[in-house]
Amino acid sequence: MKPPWWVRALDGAAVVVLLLGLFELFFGGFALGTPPLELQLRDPWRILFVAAACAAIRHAAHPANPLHRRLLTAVRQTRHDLAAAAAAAFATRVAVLVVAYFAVLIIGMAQPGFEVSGDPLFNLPARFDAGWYAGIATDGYYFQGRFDRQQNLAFFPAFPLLMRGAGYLVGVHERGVPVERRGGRLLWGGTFLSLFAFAWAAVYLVRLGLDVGAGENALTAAVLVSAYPFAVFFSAAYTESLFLLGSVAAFYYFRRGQWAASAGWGVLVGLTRPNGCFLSVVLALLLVERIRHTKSTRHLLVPLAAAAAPGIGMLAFTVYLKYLTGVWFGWARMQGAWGRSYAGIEGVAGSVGWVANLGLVRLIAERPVDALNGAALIFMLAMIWPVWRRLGVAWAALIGVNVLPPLLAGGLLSMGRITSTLFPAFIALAMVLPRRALAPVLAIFALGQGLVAVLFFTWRPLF
Amino acid sequence: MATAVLRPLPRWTRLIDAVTVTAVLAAIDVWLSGGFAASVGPARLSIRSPGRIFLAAVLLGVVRHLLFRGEPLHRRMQNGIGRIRRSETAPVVTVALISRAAVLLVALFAVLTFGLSQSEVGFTLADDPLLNLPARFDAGWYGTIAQDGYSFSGRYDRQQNIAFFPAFPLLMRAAGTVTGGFAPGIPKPWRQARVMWGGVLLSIAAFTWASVYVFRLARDLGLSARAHASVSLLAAYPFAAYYSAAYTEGVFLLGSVAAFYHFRRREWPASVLWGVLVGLTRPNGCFLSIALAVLIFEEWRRSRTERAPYPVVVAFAAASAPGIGLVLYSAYIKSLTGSWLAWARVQEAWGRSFEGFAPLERGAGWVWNEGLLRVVSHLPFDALNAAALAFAILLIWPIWRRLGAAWAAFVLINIGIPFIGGGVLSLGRMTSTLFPLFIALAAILPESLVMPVVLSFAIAQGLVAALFFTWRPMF
Repeated sequence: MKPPWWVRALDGAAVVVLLLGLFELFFGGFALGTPPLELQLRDPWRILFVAAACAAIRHAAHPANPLHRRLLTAVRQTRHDLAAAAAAAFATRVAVLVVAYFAVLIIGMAQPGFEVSGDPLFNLPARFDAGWYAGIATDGYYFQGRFDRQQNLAFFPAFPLLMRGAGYLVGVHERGVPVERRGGRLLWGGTFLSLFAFAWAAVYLVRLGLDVGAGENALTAAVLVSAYPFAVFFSAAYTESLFLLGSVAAFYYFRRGQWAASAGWGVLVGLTRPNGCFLSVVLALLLVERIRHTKSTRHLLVPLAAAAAPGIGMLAFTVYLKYLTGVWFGWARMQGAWGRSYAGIEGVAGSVGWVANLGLVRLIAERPVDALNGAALIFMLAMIWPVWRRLGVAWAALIGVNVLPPLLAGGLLSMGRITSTLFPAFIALAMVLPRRALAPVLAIFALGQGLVAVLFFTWRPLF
Repeated sequence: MATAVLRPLPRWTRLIDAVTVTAVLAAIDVWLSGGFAASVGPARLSIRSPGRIFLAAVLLGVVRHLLFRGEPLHRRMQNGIGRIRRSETAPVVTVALISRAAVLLVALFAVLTFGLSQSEVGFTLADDPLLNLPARFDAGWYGTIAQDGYSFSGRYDRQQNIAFFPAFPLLMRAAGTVTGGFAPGIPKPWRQARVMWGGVLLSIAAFTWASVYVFRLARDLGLSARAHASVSLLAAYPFAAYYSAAYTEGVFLLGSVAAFYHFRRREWPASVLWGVLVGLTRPNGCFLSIALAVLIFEEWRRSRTERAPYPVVVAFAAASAPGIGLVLYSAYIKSLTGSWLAWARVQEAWGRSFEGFAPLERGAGWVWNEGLLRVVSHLPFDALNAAALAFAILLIWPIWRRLGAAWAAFVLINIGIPFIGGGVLSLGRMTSTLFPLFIALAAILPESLVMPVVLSFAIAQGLVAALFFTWRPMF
């Protein structure tokens, strides 16, 4: 029998406060807000005492169906495939961090752009763009009045905002902590955020797979995305996990007609990355497919609004930047400072020209990082047809709109990382892959991920 | 409805078909590698013209089809490939082969992206990073034995090739012939590189075969549902990277698991042959005799309640085969150096000498004084090897409980003796061949955790491959 609401509330409070106490025990205390409205959490034992008190009051007043039994029942009722997906996601993320740590110790860093600590473990998440996110999370956006210099307004706000929130839990805002140590803690907060978002995304991926009739292949899709060589970025303080989570969740709820949830996730996606707004196009296509299927055009306003949510997220950030810089789409103009400018088909033709001039083997030998990114691109392009056939045009469009603009603007740059979030490819791959081919594909993927982890975390230019 | 009755294929037809296929493969090999010339006593065998061999194959094929038209060769091959693809061990073979190829791919990209450790490179055979890929650490020793045989300088304080047992380099010599290691008119370093590629292919083939044995052994032990998981864990294990190198691990694993498999099934001649191979492959191969002897004891105990005992004399003779392999090599070394155990004495030149439990004491002292993280950051290679040792030690009890004392003894001896001889040096590599670890791990892991562990292992194998093949001292 379901316990009364106040018992459930006390149970919830006890668990949350217990987790908070344990977190504080491991990572130190922190303060939320500023004086006089400041909540200080500095003594873990007091917090653990509060948790114990909550539990004691609850069990004294309502001894039936005790908390530990409720928790055990909840764990047992968790579906096997969802738990397995989360376990695969989490285990692979931790493995990547372990590999990264040993790679730094043994191989050493190439040319670090910045460091927050001399301790290689503490400094581990301080890599490439993670520094920009940490900067935004700490000091917010700034503008120097020109667009030819790299500045943090090229980066969208959702991840750094959440990173700021995660930073509270790892003691970023504790008093008396040196600035660099704060930066390191913030980056670790971002890494934990990525890990958590990725595990959650894996669970959504299984649910979505089940909804589209993938059956047991739904779990395989989550395993494939965990093993993918460029899944390394889900272990970094990068936006990939959050983007994947938001995209899968928006898709999942949109297909189910849960418009509010879809819109919420959609706005998050639009606020996470520049290409997040393209999800609107994809959701609109999904709506068209739905209309064709149901042959009804009634009640379209709400679904259209939900489909527009990622675009609205992007526009919200654009408006904020207009206020800051005086220019619309300032984040897009800033891309040029990163070497991304529209080169059209000529840029792609240039890449093909390399192959023609150098030959494939020599090209790989001379530009191995481009070769790795090129392999990711080829994999994704090869998956468009199976995605279209098995899942539909909207899913294929998701790949197309996320791959082509960066390809036309920056060539193969970061193509591996970009492809890691394109979940329809992994669902379709799980569906088309013969059972006997799964283990070999996973072997290639996971071994490749080991290499990519070594490259990324030792500051080799695979970002 | 009429039923087509196929004439049974005569034996001579099958023989001609086999010769034809072999000749075609040989022609392709000679075309790729340049062929070889070898002398066996007074006889000299020289195969250099792929065209002639191919012509011979075509003629054989024509004659065979003129004399017997039913079930042509191409259809037999199609059927054979179909049978292989449908067999229950096909996925095992695929996993083994693809994982090995993936390690080589990772290794190549590691060399291309962050390059070799300039302070550690021991030797280079070619400028081309792909051709030079197998030229790593001990592979050089095996390569020289395969090409030039053993040599002894008369002293034990210098590293010499008598420390390396002969089975792998002998087989490598044969494989090197196929890969053009003995083709005329090619510079010696290139020939050495080709011989080493022969060693790599040999390792991969041995690992693949061993994986099939592990699968069958797990099934024999009543773990059918976990047999595939055992192989996946074995192939994904971080230190399985050495199965893609010209190292003895593949042959050692194959010999050990095959000897165990046939011994349990009372197939004595096969067990003896595999046992001798193990004894001739590595110094610790002889310890397999102890594990097999414990297996006899276990069977004897079980026979009082469940089944007939082993025939004691035959079983002990089979169990002693790995030891006999060791004695054979020792006898050869005696003729070369004057000392039966010269291969053991020369180990000191590699820094291996009996220290008892001093390494354990030392390691514990470091951790106690400086903290684990600091020790790991100062001694990352030792930390990785120690992690492998801890993994093996943790699994001894599950092995004992699930598989038996003999299997636990096999693991314990193979980690215990190297540990007291050289600390954690190379223990990662050594644990990679201890197949009971992977069978027991597959047996105890909840199903939902098999894939996470396999993936985590494989990611770490990517690191080990990158380290080993870029000459970081992860050997």
